[in-house]
Amino acid sequence: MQQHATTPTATPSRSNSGREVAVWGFAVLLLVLAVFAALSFGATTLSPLQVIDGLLDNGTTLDRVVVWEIRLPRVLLAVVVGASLAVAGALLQGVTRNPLADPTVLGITAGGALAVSIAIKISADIGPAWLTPIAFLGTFLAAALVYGMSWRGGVSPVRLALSGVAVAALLTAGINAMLVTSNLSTQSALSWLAGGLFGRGWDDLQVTWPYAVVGITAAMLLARNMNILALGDEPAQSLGLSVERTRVFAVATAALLAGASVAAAGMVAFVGLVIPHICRTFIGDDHRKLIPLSALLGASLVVYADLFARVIVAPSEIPLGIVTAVVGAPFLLYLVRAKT
Amino acid sequence: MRTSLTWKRLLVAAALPALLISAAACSDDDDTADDTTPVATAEATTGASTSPTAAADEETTYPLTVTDMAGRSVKIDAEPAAIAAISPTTVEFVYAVGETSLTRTASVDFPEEALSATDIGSAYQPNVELLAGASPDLIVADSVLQVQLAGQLEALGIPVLYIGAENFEDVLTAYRLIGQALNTGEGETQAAALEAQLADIESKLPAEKAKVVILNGTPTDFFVALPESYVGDLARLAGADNVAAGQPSNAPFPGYAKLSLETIIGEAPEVVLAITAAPGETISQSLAADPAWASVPAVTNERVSEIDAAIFLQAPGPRAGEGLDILTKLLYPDIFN
Repeated sequence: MQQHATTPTATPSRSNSGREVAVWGFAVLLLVLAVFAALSFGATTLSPLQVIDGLLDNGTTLDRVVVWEIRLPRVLLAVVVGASLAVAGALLQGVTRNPLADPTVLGITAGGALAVSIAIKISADIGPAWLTPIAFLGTFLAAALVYGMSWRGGVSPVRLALSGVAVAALLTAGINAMLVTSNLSTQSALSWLAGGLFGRGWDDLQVTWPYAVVGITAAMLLARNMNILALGDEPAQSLGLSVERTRVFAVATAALLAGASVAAAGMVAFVGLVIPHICRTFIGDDHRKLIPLSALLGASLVVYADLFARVIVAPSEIPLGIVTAVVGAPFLLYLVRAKT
Repeated sequence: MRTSLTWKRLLVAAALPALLISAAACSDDDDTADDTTPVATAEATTGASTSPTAAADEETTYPLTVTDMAGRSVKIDAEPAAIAAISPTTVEFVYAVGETSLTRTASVDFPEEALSATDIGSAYQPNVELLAGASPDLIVADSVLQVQLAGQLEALGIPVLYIGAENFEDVLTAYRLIGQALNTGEGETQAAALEAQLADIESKLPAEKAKVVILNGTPTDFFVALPESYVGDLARLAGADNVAAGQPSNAPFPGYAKLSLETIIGEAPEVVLAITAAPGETISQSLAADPAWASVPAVTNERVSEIDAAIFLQAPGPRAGEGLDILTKLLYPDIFN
């Protein structure tokens, strides 16, 4: 289904480098525009000058409050969430050699969401400082479960994907059980499960971004090994790569990134699935480029999606997870039809 | 050559998020308020009920520091001239003491004057930008529904006063507190009127109490209100013998229980009060047609009534007096009509 087998270092020819520069420029521009648009639009539309004044604290109090206290932390969280999910997706697709893998499909986000649901049920006013490590614990346990279930003297990519789907179903049932047995105040605290950044502020960002930075850095350090892993288990082994160790590190990194995004935004589907695909069509299979480009485009997608979620039914808003699903599901259908 | 170019790009790609993030880290100092984010507990709420001490004709002096119904200390520097209430209950409280609100939530339908206020969406997820845009000098938030929004509201730099009502006692507290905060004697007047009304009811109630069940939900899926719920508390004060008393609160919202139909019917309630939460067929219509209910005294004596969802469920508090009036008339029509 996919051209992972090609040797990544051989893929780009010199004539491609102009195109590559364009791709990177486009990705950065897209994100900058996304951030600026998200700071400008909302209940009140601010002019670019007002946005800059708000950012620099030269504006009127209202511009400052809207741009700095309300919109900016939320936009930056969208960047963190999108980048984390897309990189996690790129890693998991590499590990499973399966284009359908992403943290949601493999049950990893559901693990984080279940852990957070349990924590909220025990103590409804648990703060973001605790939610992030708890979410990470959940994503990590779910990843370990999926990995363990598919272990049979080694992990075959197909078994990994299948046990991921099974674990996802099981954990989602657990989340639903938590929802129907909790009281109303807890339910409102659980509303982020649908995926959303409503009411997120600086305190949420503060506890989330280190996880994302560590995760993305780890993913970058893994990139070269991921390229070798893409050659297939045996060729990789013969090149001296510890295949299982690379896989375990990659899955754990994906769990870390998924945990950061679950704690910040709940279950946001399809970003980790769609973004690495788009990036591959632009830049090929080299993980050293795929991972940062996924981070950039993933961040843009979630920033735009969150802006859309805020303004489409203003003054109310719809969950971010719905917007990403509406974008992602048709893309998945397209993949299924185009690639078989 | 190629490799170094690639790494340069990576550096650029990595630098951008790093820049954005360092901007985020710089804002730490703005956010220390969160450590004191209040938590509404039963204790905090009842504790607050004794603190407001404004008498009817006593002028409030500013700056005023009060403990609100979420247990927070609120400092109001000057008499509020632009008030933004952000839930059905708080909007009604503000109008009930003769003031107006700049904002309302989407579901507010009372009082009529409030409809012209800015709609800021749902009470659970109010649009904070619209709230800030209304430029209030006091935000009145709901201590029952909106405690989790405290950090977000405080970030606006406008004093936030939490009031709300989970029972009749809370209504008195809320009236006195909002009256004091807005410097209007109307809060004390309303609270005193409610106390007088309650005393009058108590003096007239018969020794033999009516057995009552209060249903809330849809015809196919309803919960029973316990005496600990707001409507259950008003019914208790109106002389109801609640057949669900003593049951554990096991419904999705506190103060309600999911009881089996057998249990309810086995108690042979004399009065059924129903709050239908969805449009279409009401609970009372469905009971009248249901053979399982045919032998229940409340059905045979035609004492099944729908009661107003806004007064008893959606906006608990300001219209407690009207609520008591409705309930006493339904429970003891011979005495209170």
